[in-house]
Formats: sequence, C-alpha cells, structure tokens
Amino acid sequence: MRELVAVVLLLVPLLASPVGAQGWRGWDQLSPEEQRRAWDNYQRYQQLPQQRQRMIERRYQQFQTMPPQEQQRLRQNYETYRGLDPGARHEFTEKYRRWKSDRH
Amino acid sequence: MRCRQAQRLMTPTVDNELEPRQQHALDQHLTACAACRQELAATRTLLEVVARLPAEMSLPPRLEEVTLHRMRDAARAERSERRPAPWWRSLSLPALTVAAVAVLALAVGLRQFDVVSTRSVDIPGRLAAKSGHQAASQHQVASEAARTRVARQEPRRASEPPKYPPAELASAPDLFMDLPILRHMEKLEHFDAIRTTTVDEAPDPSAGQQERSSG
Repeated sequence: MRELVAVVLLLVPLLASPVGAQGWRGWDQLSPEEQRRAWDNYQRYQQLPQQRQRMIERRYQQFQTMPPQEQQRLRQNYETYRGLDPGARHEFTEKYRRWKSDRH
Repeated sequence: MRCRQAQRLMTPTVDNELEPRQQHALDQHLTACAACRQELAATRTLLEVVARLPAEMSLPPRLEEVTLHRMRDAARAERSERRPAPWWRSLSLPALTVAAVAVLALAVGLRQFDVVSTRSVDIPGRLAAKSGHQAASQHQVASEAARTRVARQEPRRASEPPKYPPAELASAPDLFMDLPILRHMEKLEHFDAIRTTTVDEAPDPSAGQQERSSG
C-alpha cells in the first residue's frame, strides 16, 4: 500500500507538469545507457534511509514543476560541480556551509 | 504497482469499476508490462465469452435436488475429516497477547544487544556472522522487502538493468536518472551565490549538520 502511495505521489507531478504531458518517457523508451544509469541510481536510492527517500521525492516534485530553463540551469551547475577537483569541491562545501549558516 | 496488484484490478477494469486513480496506476503498469497486457487481453476475452452466455437456464427440478443433496453430503464428510484444532487455539486471547509481547520484547532486546556489541567490538567475523544471520532471516519475508534489505546490506555490485523494472523505477525513470541533481539540489539552485561566498572563519559546526541532513 505504501508503495502504491509512493508511486501515485510520483505520478501526480509528472502528469501535472509540461514534461509529463509531452516528454515523459517510459522505461522501454530509454536508451540502454539511460536504463543503466537509472538502474544504478535506483539501487543507490534503495540504500538511502526512508526519510531521505521522501526528501528526494519532494525535490523531484519541485524539480518537475520548474521551467525547462531552470532545470537546464541546475543540470549545468551539476556538471560544473561534478567537474570540480577534490580541493575545489572541499572549498565549495565549506562555502556552502557558510552560506547556509548565514542564511539561517 | 506490481503484477500481482495489477492482476487483481483486471476484472474490475474490464467492468469499468475502477476509480480513476486505480485506473491510472494500472494503465501506467500496463505500459511497462507486456505480460500483464496479455493477461488483461485474456481476461477481457474470457469475460466477454462469459457475458455472452445465457444468464439463466432452466434446470430439471430433479437435478437441483440431487446437487443440493450431494453438496450437503460433501460438507458433512469434510467436517468429519477435519483435523483437530491446533493446541494454540485452546489458549485465550490474553495469553496469546502476553506471549506475543514477550517474543517481541525478546527480539528487540536481542537486536539492541547485537547492535551494541557490534558497535563496541568491531570484529569482521562478528559482522560477517551478523549479515549471515540477517540474510537467513530475509528468506522469510516478502520478496520485495527482502530484495530491498539485501540491497541495503550488501555492497553495491554493478548489474545489468532488468527488462521489467520495479514499479517505482518504471513509473518515474527520470527521477532516478536525475538522482544526483536531486541529492544536491539546494547547492545547485544557489550555485553562484555559494561560489561567491567568502569563508574567512571556521565554519559553524551546526551548519555542517544541516548540510548533512539536507544533502
């Protein structure tokens, strides 16, 4: 039952968003590489605590409601973040902590 | 949705008796599951054939009488052959409740002891024994729960994506493709602001906890 609720929760924003109306792709429509990536990440997701899983589901809903250009901006930022060397990433993390503590 | 759940909804969907939410969930499942699509087609055909049968047929009165007589005989024979009730049925409900609570308390106590002892003495052999014990007990729970638990305990191995993915994955594959972005979403949303932040003091330790809790 809990799984059913989770699936419905995942589907609601999907259908409400422009992506859901036009661009949603089922599993069979993913390329083998995309399937592999999704499967790997699914396994990682399964290892997360439930609280964290719920948080990711909320963020997913939020992400789905973002305009495409905002989604694209986040993707680009992620690519930049991923490309940081360990030192730069550590520095970024320190800045993130500072930024977050300043914010609250 | 899993195939077993989908199969339970097949007759109602053929009869247009599903709620929109159930219908939608079933439709989503069917888009990803060829086996269930075939099953639904077979169910639909069967129900159509049944619907074409005459609703009532006149039976000879003698046949009805004989049939009822045989059913009564069969029920009587089954009652006489039934095995005696198991011993625990003779226990009262309070006694069963007390026993259940005792077993539960024992299980919780053992688990606590196991966790404490594992934390206090980090012996690989103990950990191996623990995971072995857990793996054995996992055979007793439902297959989905076991799969999830095993996934949490065993180191992740690269594996081929399945042909028929789990419902969560089939219903929202893009969630899992974008998982790293979702995990770091706050950082990515404020990426430029964070990069221009100056760090001139030691970071506040409580901020670190916040970061860990929100990703």
